[in-house]
Amino acid sequence: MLIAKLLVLAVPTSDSQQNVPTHYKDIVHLPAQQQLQWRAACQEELEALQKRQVYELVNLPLNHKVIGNRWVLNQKMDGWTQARLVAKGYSQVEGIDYSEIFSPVIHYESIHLMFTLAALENWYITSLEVKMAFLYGKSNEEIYMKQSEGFTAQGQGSKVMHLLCALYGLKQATLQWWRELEAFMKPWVFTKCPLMPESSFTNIMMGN
Amino acid sequence: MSSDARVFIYKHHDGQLVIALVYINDGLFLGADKSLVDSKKCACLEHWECHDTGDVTDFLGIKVNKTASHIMINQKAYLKMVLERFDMHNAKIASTPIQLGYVPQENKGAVDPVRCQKFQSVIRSLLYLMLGTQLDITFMVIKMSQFLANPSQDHLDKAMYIMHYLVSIQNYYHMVYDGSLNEGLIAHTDPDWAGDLIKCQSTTGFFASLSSGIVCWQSCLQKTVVLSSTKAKYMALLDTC
Repeated sequence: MLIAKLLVLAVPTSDSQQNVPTHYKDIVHLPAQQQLQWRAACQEELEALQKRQVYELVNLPLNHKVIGNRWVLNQKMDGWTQARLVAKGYSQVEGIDYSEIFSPVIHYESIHLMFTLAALENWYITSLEVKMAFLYGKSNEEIYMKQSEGFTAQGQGSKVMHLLCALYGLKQATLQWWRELEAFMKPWVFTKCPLMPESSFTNIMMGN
Repeated sequence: MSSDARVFIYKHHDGQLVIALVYINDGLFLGADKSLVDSKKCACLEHWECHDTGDVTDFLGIKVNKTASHIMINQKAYLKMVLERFDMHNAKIASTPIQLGYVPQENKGAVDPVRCQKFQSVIRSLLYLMLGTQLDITFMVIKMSQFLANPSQDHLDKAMYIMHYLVSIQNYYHMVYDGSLNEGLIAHTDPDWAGDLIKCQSTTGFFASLSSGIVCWQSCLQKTVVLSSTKAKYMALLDTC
């Protein structure tokens, strides 16, 4: 009786996350069904990258180094499998593969302040999430990457990927996405807040 | 205070505002006029391939619960995950985040890489909780984070003690922004005079609330060493402003 109870408790923890392979090469140890599932997920990611024109296959020019990449495999709560191709950003060389990498992030104070104002004025709040945001960032530097593990193009094994967009894992990915975002917001009179919003909002608060 | 580049404010010609908060690829749009806010959001949806999450329920791991005049936020899901990661979800509870009279001592021994890594990951999780909603652990987390480079076993124990405290409050803690109370901007501050035995510096702690909702909070070492608690209070006032 007790053992049966314990088994019930034990099953959910062992089920969900253990089958997610850490490396692409671990996929071969899985049952055939799951192998197909993970390969399909990788294929889907590659097709998405091709659709966005993230890379082109070229011969490596002289005096250029290639950086590595790996598959990051993930299983969502609902069982959906996701594969993501990420560049090994640590092999990039400063001054050649990237220059600036800092990108601004929001202050938590701003979030709290906005929630307070929204509660006070009964504002409408809505949210969105940009899918594969980093792929919108354009790559300024000339970066060459190895072909993805397990998916070498037929007859073009010696070619490398020339990255046109800032792929996940590249050091400058967040900054390039930020530049893209900033360029989009600018023409719409969306102004960057010159100070912390407190200063510009005190007038509104007092007006009410 | 420093500028915040990730807040975009759009002013319509009739004076209506739309505010956009952006964190990497998560966006939050706020405004009084629903149709105007939606039109701005739609422009984003058309420009990039987006997932429209609609009414906000979750932003950066912070759960948002909105009613007509209240907004309640909590990080229960993240806290639960952290407690499970460090195997603390069934731990004993503590009623305070710090033991009475505890003064941390510098670790003079050699750096233990394993302990150092564990300590850093504990503090990292606690810092995220602290920034999001848990202002009551601010003092202790900031104090412990001064020993990130070379923590002793005692420091690690005390960091875990904060977790014991979080276990006790995990089920009912949340922050409330109440729109029906308008008390204006109120800030509270208090110094811990010469609480740091290593450098003899005092610590400032403050929080500011706007219409009963707490907006910002901080705990930091004062820049200079002062000789009296009155001076420490002046310094704390200055830090708060």
